[in-house]
Amino acid sequence: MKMDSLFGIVMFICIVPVLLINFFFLYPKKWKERKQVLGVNRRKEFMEEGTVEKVSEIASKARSRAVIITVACVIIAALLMLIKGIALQTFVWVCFIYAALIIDMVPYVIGHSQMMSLKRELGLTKEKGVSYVDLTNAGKIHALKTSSVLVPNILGLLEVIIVFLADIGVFAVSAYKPAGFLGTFIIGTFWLMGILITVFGYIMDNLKSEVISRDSDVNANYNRAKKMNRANLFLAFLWLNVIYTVVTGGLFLFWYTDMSIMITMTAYMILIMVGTAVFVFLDKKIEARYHKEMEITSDDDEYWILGMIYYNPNDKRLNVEKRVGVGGTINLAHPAGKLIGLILILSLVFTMMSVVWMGMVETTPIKLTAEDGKLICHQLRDEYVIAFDEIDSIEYGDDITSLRVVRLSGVGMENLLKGNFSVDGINGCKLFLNPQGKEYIKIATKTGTLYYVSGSTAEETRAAYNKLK
Amino acid sequence: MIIRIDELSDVPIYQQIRNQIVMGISSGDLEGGEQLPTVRALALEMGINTMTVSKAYQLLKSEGYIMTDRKNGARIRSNIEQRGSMSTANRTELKRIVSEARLSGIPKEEVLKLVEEYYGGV
Repeated sequence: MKMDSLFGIVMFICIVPVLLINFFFLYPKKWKERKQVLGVNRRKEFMEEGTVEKVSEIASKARSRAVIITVACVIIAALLMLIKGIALQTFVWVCFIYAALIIDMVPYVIGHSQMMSLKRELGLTKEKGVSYVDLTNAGKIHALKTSSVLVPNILGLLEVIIVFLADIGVFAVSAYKPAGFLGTFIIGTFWLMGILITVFGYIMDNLKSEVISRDSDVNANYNRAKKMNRANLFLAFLWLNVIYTVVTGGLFLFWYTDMSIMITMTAYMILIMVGTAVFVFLDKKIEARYHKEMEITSDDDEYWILGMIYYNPNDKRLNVEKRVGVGGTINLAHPAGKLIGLILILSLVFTMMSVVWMGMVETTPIKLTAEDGKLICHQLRDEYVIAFDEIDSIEYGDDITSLRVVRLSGVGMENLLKGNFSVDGINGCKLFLNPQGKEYIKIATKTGTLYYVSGSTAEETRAAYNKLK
Repeated sequence: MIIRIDELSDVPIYQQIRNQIVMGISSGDLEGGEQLPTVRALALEMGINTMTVSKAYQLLKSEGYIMTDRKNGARIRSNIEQRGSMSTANRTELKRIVSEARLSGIPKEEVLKLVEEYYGGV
């Protein structure tokens, strides 16, 4: 199977559950059992005769619109798998993901605005700015235990150490050819992800306990159930991450193929989605179990822009629980929140720009010319210039596939290898190749640098080689 | 015990916390020896500055309602000093409430019933 087809399947497997989870979170069928209706706190006045029908109508209209949008997105996602070319596919998928997640929210935003109007119509604004705290439970409800997060993090660290020892050659495994510290870097990155999950888990565990009842025991049980469910999700993610780290480390050492890595990654993504779906199911169950006991409602709807973005200058907290979805969100009125918001926007812009750049890199052919006593490899802003008198030896190869190439930094695409690579176990080689052209020139310079270069076609490579000879 | 904070009220937040804890002690919702949350935990729950909570606790301590120490944090005093007299500020406040009730046409019996209810801690 080709890389772009695999990529399409992985993206489809990832986006469809996200859309479905989003749908069930944003547009619940039984709104009476949820704490919020389209981003507006569910109040007892909504259940009164004459109002309940209006709320039901708003909620069901939003749900019907969302069904159409979700189905359309799934169909489009299925069609996107047919696109050829990894760069084009990446570009289209990134655009689609952004668009799908925004369009998915449209019925929610419309419904939210209708709910806010209804609230104003009913005169439910007396409690604006009022919040409740349960003095008996404040700061006492926690579910994440240090001992439970320690073991997976230590296991992950052990895996990093093993791969590091293999990278520095303390022990040798026949199937593993170290390429710089690439193995340590990759496994280390996954381990750091586990650390991030742990930190995030702790942040979520320390979030404000909610007050739903005048009875402190009810509040304690409700918050304990919610935090336990959340802690279990983080622990499941943490263990999954460790297992993935160990399996990937094992594959690196004993059975490394692109396919094995791709299969492991797909399984990892599927399990993340399954974990999230189980969390959503249990969360809904908790809400349904306690919905009859919800007698206190804070009126902080005004601080939730479009029912999902929190902006409250009176709140000194940076993290608050999300109104929709899993986990927490930031208070954009907090100085650090503003900074994080800016970074988030910049990273979204950067993602789009890098996808466009990737497309340009894939579609722009590389050029190899030998003139004025210099060999010039050029593509976009990158250029390798090797003066003829710097060259120590040259060699012509006609089968790129026979080289064992591992990317250390740079670009590694089906039609382009550019940057620093490890070639046949030798680190620090500079590549400027079109692997589809098969033929290449191996150049050793007097300073000891090894270059593997080619033109965009075999003819171009041969012409440059003839001049070099 | 549930504390209700109104951030748009004219009463400062530390005063709201102090008042509600005093009412909680009087009604029996908070018992002598009961542990109060730490300043940090309460500030985090309320989304307010730790200084605000600290100010409320200091006020409660100076009035003799709570005691604090490094090891146990803040606790409700088991034996709250019974001065047997009402402060001038409270007398003025009570006078204001009674005056407003009279001007609103609330019968004296109704006011006395409420006083009895609150005094009894029901």
